[in-house]
Amino acid sequence: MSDLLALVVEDHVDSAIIFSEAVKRAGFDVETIRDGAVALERLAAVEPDIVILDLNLPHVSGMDILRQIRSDPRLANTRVVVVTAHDEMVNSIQDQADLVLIKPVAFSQIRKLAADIGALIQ
Amino acid sequence: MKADNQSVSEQTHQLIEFLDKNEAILKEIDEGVIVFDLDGRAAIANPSAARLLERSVREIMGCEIVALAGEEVKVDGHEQILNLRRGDKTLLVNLVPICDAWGQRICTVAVFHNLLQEAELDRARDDFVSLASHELRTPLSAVLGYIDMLKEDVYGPLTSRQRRAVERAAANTEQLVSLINNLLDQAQMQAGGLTLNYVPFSPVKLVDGVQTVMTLAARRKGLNLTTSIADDVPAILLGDFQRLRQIVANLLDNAVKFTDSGTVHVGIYKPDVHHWAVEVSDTGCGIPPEARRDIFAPFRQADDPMKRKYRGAGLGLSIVRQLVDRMEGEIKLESEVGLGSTFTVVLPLALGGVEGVSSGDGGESICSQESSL
Repeated sequence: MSDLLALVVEDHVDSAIIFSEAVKRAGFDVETIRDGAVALERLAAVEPDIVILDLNLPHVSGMDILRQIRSDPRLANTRVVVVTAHDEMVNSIQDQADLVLIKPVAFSQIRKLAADIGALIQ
Repeated sequence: MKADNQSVSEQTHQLIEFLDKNEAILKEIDEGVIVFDLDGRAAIANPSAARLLERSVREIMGCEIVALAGEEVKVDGHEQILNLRRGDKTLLVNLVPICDAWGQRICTVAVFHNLLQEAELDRARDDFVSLASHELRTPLSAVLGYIDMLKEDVYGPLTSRQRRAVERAAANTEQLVSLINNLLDQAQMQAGGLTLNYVPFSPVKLVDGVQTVMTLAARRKGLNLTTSIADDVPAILLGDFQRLRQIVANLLDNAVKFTDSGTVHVGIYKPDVHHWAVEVSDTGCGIPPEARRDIFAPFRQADDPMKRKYRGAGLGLSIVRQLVDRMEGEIKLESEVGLGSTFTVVLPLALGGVEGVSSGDGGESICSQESSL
């Protein structure tokens, strides 16, 4: 029923559950993906409004996914929020991501952020 | 009055005899140590020196430094520092003259450090901190997330007793988050030796990132968290984004911790043409003048009664000070007891071409500016 689509790309099971629930409650349809290669496949098919992206992923890194999103004109309006536990990675991704959050990140932080983005889009 | 040569060589002899008898002192240390007598010949060498120079102790004994270093080095009355290549090793050699009470040299001690080994240790320490950081932050994030979901009734409505328990769990977890963030920051700075990595970044993203993370704690205390970026601030600044994030997060964490009602504000502005500044102000308890001098020292909080009320390691501001110093910036504190405090970090703008890229897209904020609720 909602026109807003979010991809949660996160291999840590609990984080994936929490972030997915948060964006869902902010009014997004959610697809949860735990593998980098699968995420790239999905990104070739859909145009999500927001991607919650972990960096440490199996098969294809979050870094490569971010680069792919930024080089695809079809995804020019996709907002990418990187959520990582590796704060030493911040400097190399901050210019490409719309926002970088360092774990621990709470459920309501993601929900509020997603709601803000949703409001900005509509 | 000067000692004559006879007594100098006697003292040299005594010292060498003493070290020889007490060989255990030098035997166990990791640094290579060689003592050269007044003729410039090795009189004592420990096993580490033999290992680092890839010779036996017996081979070293009696050699001059030139024979050992393979370079034009002379043992004289001056302290010297040399870099020495030995196969795949780089040795740092400190040559230190040892003098008697009259300033007369009685021998020279050479201390050999294995630089490569130290670099390897540094790297191992970096890797460990990075791993520990990931392994601590990830489960903590899950704990925080599930507690938050319970609190937000994602798993159904809570009874008032359950709610109180969950609130307690939330408050304790937030304390843990703040503590772990600080300890990891400190560990990372010590491991990485505080090397800065300057990148172009958007001040909007800097503020958005910390605001998103701090909103929860502010809201729990009923505080307004507001942000502002002055119009004349370039859309793109140059700086170590990760460290700047640490600075603002620590100041904000501190402000929220010591404020019980009112507003916490983060603002970025240009105090003059050559600088940009980030200020974090609060309507908290304020800091008494006598406590201001020590407030940036590690493991300190303003005073004892407050220590009991506000928990934490007292590391946050010390980390901020270290980072700001490294960035050749300045940190200022204005505070009035009972009214609040303002911390201002002033940093140099330039470092080449910042104004040139300021027309670039710094990105619009994806956070709403008011985040009380």
